[in-house]
Amino acid sequence: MLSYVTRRLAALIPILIGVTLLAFIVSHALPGDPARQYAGINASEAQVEAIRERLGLNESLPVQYCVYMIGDTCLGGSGKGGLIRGDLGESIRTGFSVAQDVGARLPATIEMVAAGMLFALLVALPLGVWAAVRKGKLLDRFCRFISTLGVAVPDFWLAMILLLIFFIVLEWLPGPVGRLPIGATPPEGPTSLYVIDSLVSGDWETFRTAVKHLILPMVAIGFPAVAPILRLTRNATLSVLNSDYIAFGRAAGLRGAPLYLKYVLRNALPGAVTMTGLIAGYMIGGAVLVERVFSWPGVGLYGFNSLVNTDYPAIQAYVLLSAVTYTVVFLAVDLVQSLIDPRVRLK
Amino acid sequence: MSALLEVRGLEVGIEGLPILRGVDMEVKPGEILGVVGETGAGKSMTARSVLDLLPAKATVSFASCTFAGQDFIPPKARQEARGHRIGFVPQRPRGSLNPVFRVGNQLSGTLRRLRNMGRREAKDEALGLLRSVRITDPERVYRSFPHELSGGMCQRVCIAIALAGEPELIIADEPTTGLDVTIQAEILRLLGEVISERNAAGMLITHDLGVVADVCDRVAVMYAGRVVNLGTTAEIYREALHPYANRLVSIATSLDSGGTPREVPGRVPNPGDHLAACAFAPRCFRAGPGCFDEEPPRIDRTGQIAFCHHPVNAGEVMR
Repeated sequence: MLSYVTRRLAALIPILIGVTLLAFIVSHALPGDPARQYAGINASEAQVEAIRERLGLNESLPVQYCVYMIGDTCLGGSGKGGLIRGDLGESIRTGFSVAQDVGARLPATIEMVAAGMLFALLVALPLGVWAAVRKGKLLDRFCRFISTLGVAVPDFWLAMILLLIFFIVLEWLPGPVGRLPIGATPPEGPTSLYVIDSLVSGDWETFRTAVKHLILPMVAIGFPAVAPILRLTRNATLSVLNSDYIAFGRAAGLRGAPLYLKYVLRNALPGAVTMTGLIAGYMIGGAVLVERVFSWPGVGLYGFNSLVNTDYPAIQAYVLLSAVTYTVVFLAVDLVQSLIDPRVRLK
Repeated sequence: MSALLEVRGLEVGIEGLPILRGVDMEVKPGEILGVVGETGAGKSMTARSVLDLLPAKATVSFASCTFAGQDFIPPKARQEARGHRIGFVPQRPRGSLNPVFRVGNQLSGTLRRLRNMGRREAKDEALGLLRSVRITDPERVYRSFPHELSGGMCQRVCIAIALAGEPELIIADEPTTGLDVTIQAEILRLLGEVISERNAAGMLITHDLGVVADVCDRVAVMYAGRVVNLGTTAEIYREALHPYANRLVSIATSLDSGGTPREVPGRVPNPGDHLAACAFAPRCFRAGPGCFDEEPPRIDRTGQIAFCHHPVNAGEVMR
């Protein structure tokens, strides 16, 4: 198991090098001049040139890539910076180190995507099993409607509709101001996930507020994921229900909740897990727009703003982070798969 | 002696097509009843009706059905008997064990469910059950997943699961399907042994008449959704009244003696086919005009009954 994980992570390195190259080329091919944006509208040509010089943007592209990857040794420097030393560079827009920027925003995205995933699974798994058990009945047809809706509705549009209903019309939930009301103090805690930190420290007031702010983003990002997981779970459950081991389990007196939750769901799960992995990757992409709608201060919003401002190091870091997340999620899927099904062997 | 399980006038239809057309059958305490017939005769359907395990599309009706005196017509009564009073041994044992749980877990889970045992107690009992189905290394099998065991070993485990609730009746539905020929006889002998060791009764569904002769006390021969011949194994083997049963026996015995069996011409009717009054008439070499139009009468003779217009006469040599 451990050697398997090590080998998978080692195989990640060439992939990530490829990703950096791609992200570098694409970000530099974008229209826009970061030096000019950084300098502001009133800056003189000489000032812009000076900034360009300082940011190293006057070097040739291969040299810039080299500096990004292995630091200033490329320019005959003393060996500082570069991705191989874990330095993601400095954001042109914010002036902070990109690692610091991303680190500060990552918990917000994790909180939202994890909540969305949890929401999707809690809705889709039981409904999928239930729909299969009641195949062709009203509930099954309702589930088919939900699946179609989930595929058809884009997350950012759903986000706006949810805001319209629950914030503007009903006034039940807070508006798009981020994770907490403006000016509120975030809870102290080790995870920086507000819901968990406030719960751990017993700060009920903050907990309630954080949950309220989380609900709409959670549904907006989670709902589109309900559809594929639901459909997959339903179909997997149908084939499990027709299996010999379910017939034999029934003949041995198994029925009701233990039959469905233990025997059936456990066997229908592998397909759903694979789908969940795919969707987690999709959600990281979806987070960009949903975070934009809700002013959610996560890496998606950071990536978006970096893109708008042609902030090369930040864009590259965002793409890299997405790639790492994707591959780590897939590794996790394979590990979970081997835990669920003893017939799966990792090699 | 009154019957343990008594089924009268069992009719099953699937989507309007008749599958069972009035099955009468009973299993007496302590006996093993063999149910034989070609594929599609309704053997498995009969067994599954008793446990209310038919597909959802099936419609079932009994004229009467009792188990140890209890009315078995309400589906709930039949569902509650599963495992507790009636144990079931499946076809295709490898596919019948849940692939994601260890064998021991499935067996002890059954014990905890059916006999309200605690974890420890269930494990000890499970190992005992595995030993009682002649598994020599129960500890290893207990820890194994189904895909790590052979088909024969899986069937032993299934038998142990069927025995877990200390049932009064064991129904085995073609228990050797998909097993190597070499271990088929072993499994059937084992079934016969564990049933008689527990003073339970058995219903053994098979299309292998050779097997029936070794294990069963009585035999019911089914054809196209009905029992056409029913009697003690000795009588059926000596001289079955019904031409179909008679021919099946002669096929089985000529196979055993290395001869070339004479086949039964024609094919088994499919559900929904138009049937003659005696469904076997179109394939029967003794059939006369009456066979097609009039319900075959019940013929009672020592040790067996049959439904036939032209039963095989005593001493007659079947051609």
